[in-house]
Amino acid sequence: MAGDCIDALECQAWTVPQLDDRLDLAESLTLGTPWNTVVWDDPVNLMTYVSWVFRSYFGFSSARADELMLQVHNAGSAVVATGSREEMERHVVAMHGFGLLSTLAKVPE
Amino acid sequence: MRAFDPTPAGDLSAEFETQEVALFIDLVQQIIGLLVRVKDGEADVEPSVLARLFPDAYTDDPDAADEFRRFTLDDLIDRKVENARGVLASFHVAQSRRTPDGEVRLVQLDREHAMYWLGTLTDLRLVLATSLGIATVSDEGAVESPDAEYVESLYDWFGFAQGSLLEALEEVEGIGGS
Repeated sequence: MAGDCIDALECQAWTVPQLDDRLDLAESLTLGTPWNTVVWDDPVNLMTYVSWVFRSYFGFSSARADELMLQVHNAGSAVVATGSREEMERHVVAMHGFGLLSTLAKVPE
Repeated sequence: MRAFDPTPAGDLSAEFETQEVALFIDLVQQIIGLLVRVKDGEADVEPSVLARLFPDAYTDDPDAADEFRRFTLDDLIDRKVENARGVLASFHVAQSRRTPDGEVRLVQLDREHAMYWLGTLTDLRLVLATSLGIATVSDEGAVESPDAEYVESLYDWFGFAQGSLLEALEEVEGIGGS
């Protein structure tokens, strides 16, 4: 702790971050960039099925699931989740398991 | 077949004619065979079928998409095979009933098996749609082939089965219905 410093020089050495630490911090900030899980429209899957997948996998309410399903259907795609890259990869593989077209992408800045 | 209906116990049931059961089982076994061949790395599976069953996870980064597929393919295949085996199991335990028109099988699904069915019906439709050329929004559609009409009738049949299963499931779970 800063209060434990005996003289000024020691305090300074302790408080000034090393270059390596700053680089690590920069890297972890980059890793923390949020990603989106996107579901794309396809002509095969029934609208009721897509809505059911959103309800049963993401736990969305019926209204929210229908809203996202209609966005997929009408706009061609919808962002269904946002978070860490690892988490979004898990969502994407789950969507593929359900037979939906799904990708992940960095949240646009 | 007739549409799926909720049972008083909260399961879902539908009757299938004997020849429908045979056809369904045959196609599900074909899907399992296809999935096993993909897992074994055999190269005889249509690239368009592969691309639709195991789509790219990254649209603008082919390397990341390849890596993602390498890491997830086996688990995804296992899950799809598990779905398909669940469907076969529900036919296996289905009871027979005699009707004036012949024998029918009463398929009865709990929620777990309904999920197997939804997954496998999707995979069946994706494979059939790929051969019809209607699997993605950019597909031109209407692939000319001698059995296109037959494939289309199967595609519609599985669509009907899935739609009625979802409707019955929603009734049981109290979502959207009543």
